[in-house]
Amino acid sequence: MITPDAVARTARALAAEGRRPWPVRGDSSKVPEGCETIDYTGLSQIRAVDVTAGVIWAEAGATWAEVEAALAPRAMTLGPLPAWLRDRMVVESLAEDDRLRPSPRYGQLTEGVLALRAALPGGQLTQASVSPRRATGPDLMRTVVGARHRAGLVTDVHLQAWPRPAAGAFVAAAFDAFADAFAGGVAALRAGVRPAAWQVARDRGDVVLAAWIVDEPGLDEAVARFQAAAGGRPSRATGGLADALAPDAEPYELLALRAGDRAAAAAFAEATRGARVLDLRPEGATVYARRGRPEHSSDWAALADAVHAALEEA
Amino acid sequence: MSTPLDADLAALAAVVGPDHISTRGADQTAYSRDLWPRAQLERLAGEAPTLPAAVVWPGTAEEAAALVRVCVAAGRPIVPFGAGSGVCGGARPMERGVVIDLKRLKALRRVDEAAGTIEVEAGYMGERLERQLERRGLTLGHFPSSILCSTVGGWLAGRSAGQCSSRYGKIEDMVVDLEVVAGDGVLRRTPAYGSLGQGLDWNQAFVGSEGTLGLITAATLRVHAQPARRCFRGWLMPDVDAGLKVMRGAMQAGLRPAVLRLYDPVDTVMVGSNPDAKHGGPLAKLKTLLNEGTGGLKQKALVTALSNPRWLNAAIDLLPQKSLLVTVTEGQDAEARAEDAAIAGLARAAGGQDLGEGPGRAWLAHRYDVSYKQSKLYAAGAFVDTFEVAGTWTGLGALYDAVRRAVGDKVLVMAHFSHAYPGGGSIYFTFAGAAASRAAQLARYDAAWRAGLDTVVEHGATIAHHHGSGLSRRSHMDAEHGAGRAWFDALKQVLDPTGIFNPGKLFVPR
Ligand SMILES: Cc1cc2nc3c(=O)[nH]c(=O)nc-3n(C[C@H](O)[C@H](O)[C@H](O)COP(=O)(O)OP(=O)(O)OC[C@H]3O[C@@H](n4cnc5c(N)ncnc54)[C@H](O)[C@@H]3O)c2cc1C
Repeated sequence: MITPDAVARTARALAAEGRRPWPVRGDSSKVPEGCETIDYTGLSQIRAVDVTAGVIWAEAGATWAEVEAALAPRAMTLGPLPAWLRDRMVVESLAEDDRLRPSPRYGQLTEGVLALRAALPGGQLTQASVSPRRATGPDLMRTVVGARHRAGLVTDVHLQAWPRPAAGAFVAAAFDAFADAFAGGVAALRAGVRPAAWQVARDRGDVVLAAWIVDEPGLDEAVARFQAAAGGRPSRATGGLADALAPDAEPYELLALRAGDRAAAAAFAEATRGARVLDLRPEGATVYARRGRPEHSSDWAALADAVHAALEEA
Repeated sequence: MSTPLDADLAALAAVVGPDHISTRGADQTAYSRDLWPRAQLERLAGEAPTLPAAVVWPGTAEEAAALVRVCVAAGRPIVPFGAGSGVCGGARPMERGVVIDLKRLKALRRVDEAAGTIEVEAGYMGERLERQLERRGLTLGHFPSSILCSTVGGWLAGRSAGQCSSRYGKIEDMVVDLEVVAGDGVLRRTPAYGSLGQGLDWNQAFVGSEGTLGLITAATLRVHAQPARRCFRGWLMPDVDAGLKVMRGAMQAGLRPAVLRLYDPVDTVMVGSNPDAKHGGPLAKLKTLLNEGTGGLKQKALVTALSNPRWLNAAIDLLPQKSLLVTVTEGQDAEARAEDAAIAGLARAAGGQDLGEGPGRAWLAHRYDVSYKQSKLYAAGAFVDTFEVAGTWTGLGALYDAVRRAVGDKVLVMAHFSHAYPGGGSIYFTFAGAAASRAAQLARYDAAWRAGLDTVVEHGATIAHHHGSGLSRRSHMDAEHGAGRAWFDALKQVLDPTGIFNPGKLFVPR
């Protein structure tokens, strides 16, 4: 067992020596050079499940699968969990800003964080009210998301969960080109259908848009609306949807693909072959483009670096 | 360290031209406040406002950036100004500071219909923007009650919420990217979609910063097709808890109603929807007093009633507890109807009485009818203000009761619940009070705010849902964020190292 206070003390001690903490669950083989491991095995409990608000309070060493398992007996869920995310700790996903969940209905897992507590490099422990939205300055919680533990070590989080859907349906439509399938998905979203999971995948000669639609107020009507808006030819190739939830766990680069930009969509499909569109939104999508994590080389990355340094020096 | 004023004014004028800078007394006075109600009490109490050294109106984002460079070099505080509709003192000028009014940045730079996004400058007025979009069959979906008198930049700077936030989100949910100028005077565009490998989510750092980290000069925002259909309904719910249950059920079922608006029993009477209270209850009398002016005896009666709010609030507790729930669903025809039917199922199950389309349509017709009777009330020795807070569904009912209890001996209080999310929602409290002297009014006003915010903090809820902090809530911002304030301090240190952006706002300076 370790406590958030203990994490805070360790964070301070490491910062004083100019070293950076890196949470793990036992296995420290992937800890980046120059970082010190903090074993979060003892900080992986589920603290409480608030069924009324649909909020689960979990320690940050818990994996997404463990959080989901704690919700299951209460007929609740976080939404679909891609296989590669299941064994990631919540703290890891926040630090790396994991975004690869193709779920317009439930959004990205990191977006479901209603509050978090973190140990700052200076050893202080933050606190936060639990609220779906606020207007109390910048969204300071987002300072730690994507910061690779430099802006603070998350110790516990409050996550939005949902009633487990009672009913669902697969729908699929086949297209000749990736750009058409992508446009079909965007059109369905704009028609008000938000699938729990979706993907665009090649299936022999076709490009197939597949979606898993759950619990819309009228499921049959939502399926019909999806089909009418998306267009394409009827397809039975829904099995590919499982891939969307289980892409390889390799590093990735994300690009923004603007809805309506057929040329970019075509070029993207050509360049990547194994097309994967993730995080679909009505105005476009975040897409998996090619392997390799992006370099932190922009002006903004340099500013973020300065913010992290300021926190480490504070 | 600041340079002589004349030299600074000349440098500012060189950027914007002599017609777009003013040091006239009338302008200084006009820009000496926003719509924070406390400022009105201060004026009535005879307190002199702080006047800015100058007001400048840049015509382009580049000019805005150049103004920032001049102010940084001169060490002059900058107060960004949208339309001044903020209700927290956020746009109040600082001693010898420069107010940068962004309303000349009013271009709709790009409408990308295929992508469903627009790029719009920060000074664009809300209602005009919505009208422009409507012409193209689009909507931003952001309808604050102040839409006629607020700007896109002000919305972004304060994390504003529109009346349809349950469907379209708050303004922070609509941002694709921002164009900003921080303390180095460089015009930059934030990375689209948040962080994506940039180390932190820069959009969410600037949104809500209330002018303390830099100027927002433009934004790319998501837009939507105009709804093809709207379904309206009103429900008379047995009590507040039953109404909250419907709101929660709808949002957790994944529905996206445009409006879910629950009035507490007092507010229900105020909007004229509790049939049981129509015939001469104490509240109906109070409503008449609040609505019909303040001459002679009526004025006395009003001030007396508001000076002893304990009795009024106690009388309210004896009233029938019925609460009006207004629902509006929208979108494509089938979607709007299906969601309306689903919410109707929830409302019936919670004991709601269907009032038909009337209350929803009445709400739409009067959605921007802001009360302009406040001046009369102030003149009569009373005051009115609002504060909106948010929390999870589990604690919302108890928070509502606790705040009413905490402020009930100081002010008359009523509330509605108007922004719903899967995990919780907001409570919008309106309070009114009175006292014999101006000093006593200020003291009572402050005491009500303090008691309200203390209670919110004690309940673990958040102290602001959409009005921001400015000066009115900064006393409780450390309680809200705890040690997390260090994140803000680090952002400030990097983005505004000389501390010239809206000093003293948001947090109490360390
Ligand atoms: C009658 C009434 C009804 C209201 N209803 C709502 C409502 O329904 N929802 C809601 O959210 N709010 C509401 N408000 C509050 C207010 O309208 C909002 O806070 C609005 O967002 C302020 O916009 P503004 O352009 O007037 O900003 P201002 O009042 O001018 O400024 C607000 C803050 O933002 C900063 N700022 C302004 N522009 C910029 C910029 N471009 N860059 C950086 N900083 C900037 C200012 O320095 C200040 O701190 C209401 C106010 C009134 C008076």
